[in-house]
Amino acid sequence: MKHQLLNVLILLAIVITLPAQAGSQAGGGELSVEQAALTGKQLERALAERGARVAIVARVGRPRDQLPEGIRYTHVAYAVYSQVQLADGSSVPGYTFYNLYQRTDRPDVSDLVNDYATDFYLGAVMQETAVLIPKPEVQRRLLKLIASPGYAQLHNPDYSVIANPYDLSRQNCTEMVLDVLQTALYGEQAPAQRKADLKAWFVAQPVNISPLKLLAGSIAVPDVSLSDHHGERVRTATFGSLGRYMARYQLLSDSFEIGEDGQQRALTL
Amino acid sequence: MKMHKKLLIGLTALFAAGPLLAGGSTQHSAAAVQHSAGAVSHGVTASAKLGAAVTSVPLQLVGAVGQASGEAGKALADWSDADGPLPVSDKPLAANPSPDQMIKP
Repeated sequence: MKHQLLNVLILLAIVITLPAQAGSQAGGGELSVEQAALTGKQLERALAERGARVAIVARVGRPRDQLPEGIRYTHVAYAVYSQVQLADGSSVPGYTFYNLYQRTDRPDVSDLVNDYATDFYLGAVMQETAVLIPKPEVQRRLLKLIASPGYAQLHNPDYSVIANPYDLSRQNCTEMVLDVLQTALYGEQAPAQRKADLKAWFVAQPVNISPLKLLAGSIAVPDVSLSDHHGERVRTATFGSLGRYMARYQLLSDSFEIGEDGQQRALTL
Repeated sequence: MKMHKKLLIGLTALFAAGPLLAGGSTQHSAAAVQHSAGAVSHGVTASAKLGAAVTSVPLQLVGAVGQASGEAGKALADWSDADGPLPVSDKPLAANPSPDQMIKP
């Protein structure tokens, strides 16, 4: 009896705790609409000053002290210089953000969503931003792919926050960005070939969390999966590892961060 | 398994998963709040309001969308690497409300 009671208590504790943890995704501490609009416009201007047609941008969706060692940004997307038609019928130049977002009610499932600078920052807990601007030839290839049906075909809706970038079964936002970049570089090819190329050239970020914690997370948290890691050390695609990949193979024309004070500074990859 | 081991695993599950929940990929649309937020200040522009975006087209492809893929390729080829800064609107942009927001009373 005592044994069963303890089991029930443990199960209840896990179940009760889950919503509170999931709620932290959209919880307090996020930027206001005014802050998001201001930060978004700072980013748009920084990109436009550099003549960027396509850039890779990252924001911080969770306090830094809660992120695993070596991971500084939590959401990565493409920003594409666009003609934006407004509800009043006018058109303005600006940037459209091409995102992979988790569903609010099903965090283990994702959708491709295009939004704009203000929306991009509403999920952020700080204004700090990181930017990778690809070389013009890479931008040109990216733009051609992003504007084609081939872009959506690279999406896998089965989401894991620690998705293995060398495996096809799960995908997160950064892996989608990486898959798009890889396809822009190599052209359309079999998905397995793309992953084999990534295994050969891309160095994923090790996730510095103990195996016990990862196991507990995979049991208790719907958007954490170990199924695509096949018992190997958990590694995932991050903004940092993506930036190092692009720098190593000379795919970048510029990279920088925008700080909390709005000032631009060099990005250390 | 002894009870204290089960307790240990359970407590680990409670407290361990937090840092994994990056939560950075969730969508946060300005649409739900933009209409009540009204004017946006703090230096974006003196009287800027969020521009509700309906749709967009990559500017390098404007005029080529809907045409043969060769035309899109031409638009891309016309883009000079030596181009300088690009014009960008002062208006802060946000997406329109989602369909479910549109039918809320």
